[in-house]
Amino acid sequence: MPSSLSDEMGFHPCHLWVRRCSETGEAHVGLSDFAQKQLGKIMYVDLPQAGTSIEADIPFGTVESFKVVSELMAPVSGVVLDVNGSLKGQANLLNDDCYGAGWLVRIRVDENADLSPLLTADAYMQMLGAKAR
Amino acid sequence: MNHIIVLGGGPAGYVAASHAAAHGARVTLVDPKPLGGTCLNQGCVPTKVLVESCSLLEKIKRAESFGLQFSGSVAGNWAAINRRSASIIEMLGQGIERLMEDREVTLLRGYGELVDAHCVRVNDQVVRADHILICTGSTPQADPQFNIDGATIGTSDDLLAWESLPRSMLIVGSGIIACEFAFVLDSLGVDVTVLASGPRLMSHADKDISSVLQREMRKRGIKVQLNCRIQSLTHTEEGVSAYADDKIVGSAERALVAVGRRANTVGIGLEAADIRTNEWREICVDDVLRTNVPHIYAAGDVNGRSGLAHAASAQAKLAIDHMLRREFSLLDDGAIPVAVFTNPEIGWVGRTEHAAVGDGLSVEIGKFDLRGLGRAHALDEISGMAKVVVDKHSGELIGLHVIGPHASEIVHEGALVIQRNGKANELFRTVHAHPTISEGILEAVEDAIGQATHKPMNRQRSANALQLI
Repeated sequence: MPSSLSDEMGFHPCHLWVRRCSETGEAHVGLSDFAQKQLGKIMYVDLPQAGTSIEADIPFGTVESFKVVSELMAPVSGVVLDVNGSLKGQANLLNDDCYGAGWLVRIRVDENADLSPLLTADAYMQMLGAKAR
Repeated sequence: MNHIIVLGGGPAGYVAASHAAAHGARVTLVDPKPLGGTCLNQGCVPTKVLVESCSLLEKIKRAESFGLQFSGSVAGNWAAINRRSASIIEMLGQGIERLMEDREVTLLRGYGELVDAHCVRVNDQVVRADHILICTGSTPQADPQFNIDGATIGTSDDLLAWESLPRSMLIVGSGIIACEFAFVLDSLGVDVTVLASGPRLMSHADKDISSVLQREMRKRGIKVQLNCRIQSLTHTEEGVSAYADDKIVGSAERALVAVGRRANTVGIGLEAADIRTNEWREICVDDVLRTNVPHIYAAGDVNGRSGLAHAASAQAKLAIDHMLRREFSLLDDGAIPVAVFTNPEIGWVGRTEHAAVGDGLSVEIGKFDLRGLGRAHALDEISGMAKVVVDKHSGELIGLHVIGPHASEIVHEGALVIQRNGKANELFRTVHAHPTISEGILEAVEDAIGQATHKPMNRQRSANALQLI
């Protein structure tokens, strides 16, 4: 899993990313670097079991840091194939490598899922810049 | 002098006896078992002893995070914890007996059975009274499909008497008793699986509180299966298996069945006095706890109105006040606080958001995550939240829900406001000491009007919430 931003990544405005494999229709979902920095030290992530359907723009889990508990908004609809087991007991992976080893779930993206609302990495960065301004 | 017979010496019965005697009545209290009832002997008190041992055990294990050096190992010792529990129960039970002596209550040891509407037989003796108060309590529900044998498959009564704990346990149920034991057993190293028939734990709690509770269970590795209605439990070579939809949904060394409690109304002579019961064989009572026989009352679990010890005591006092023609206030069940000793603790009073909306009320909700509080961090217990439900039109506080450290203690400020139909602004205007967990309640009320000090300001809500302040 690459640990940096890449062209095939799409970003949800609620700070989750999707990295889709066009051949398999599967995708990894994770938390953006901006989000992990805002949250601070992450202690626990509560994620759905494999087989659970998730729906775009609907919370599918929570992330707990020392400061806050935040809902994780599904960036796209699909079915959870796998949960990152490494996060159990090592939630700090989200702080240390949010685009790589700290991925959250692997999903099968719904065939009819609309990925067009997702932002490119550049657009996401611009959104953050605009917010900061 | 008015003579009152009280059947049962639990938190309804002994409190009634004490209250009646203190106000001049002659009282006979009948119970075959040690005074204190289920609450003291098999319920609230022994389980809280367990909870405190577990709480300390977990804190010691986290000593390093408090900057403390701890050498050596620490582990729960079930037998030793039970010995501590037994000694506390004995001490408190003796205290109740001394209280009865002090009030000159006549204590009859034996099962009481009504022989008619004025007389109770205890052993070979028949005692006549002007009034009778039935407080015979409840026992754990033990439906035949669960094959309860007390040793491998047991109720909470059985579990507390076990000499050792298994390595793994199924818990059938999702209410207060099931959830409290899930945390206790997990803390003592038992691999716990909770099998809940509904879509969430603690179905009568606020949904947000249930969510946090469930997350805390998952965090600890307690397995939770929802929508899992158990058909049967069967004994196996390894222990026990649970079946739902004709499939095995869980197996463990032992199982705890915590699916509710049943009123103790069999064998107490209700038929002899023509006392009416409902379809669950709970005694039907009116607002002053009077049965259909005007001089016979029923308080506590036996009437099915509430399963809480403190509600039973309050009911008992009301019944006695009515019997003795003293001034009385009716009980508002919606203002009775509920305390659940999970980890984190839960305390709530009043309506849930779901119930209020279901009743057609327009509500404003305020929430505060307790990890925003300095005290929570000092305690190293940051999980939890405070939530208020406020009637949007009247500004009345109609629900307070807390999950977090000391929740069972701090919920009472909400009870005080709700029992007098007070407004949320009474909490808003009350200065809360710092640093305390109670500040979370203040922040939740402030959040309901968009002005929580330690949350981003909600300008729209703030502008719309003038009537609340």
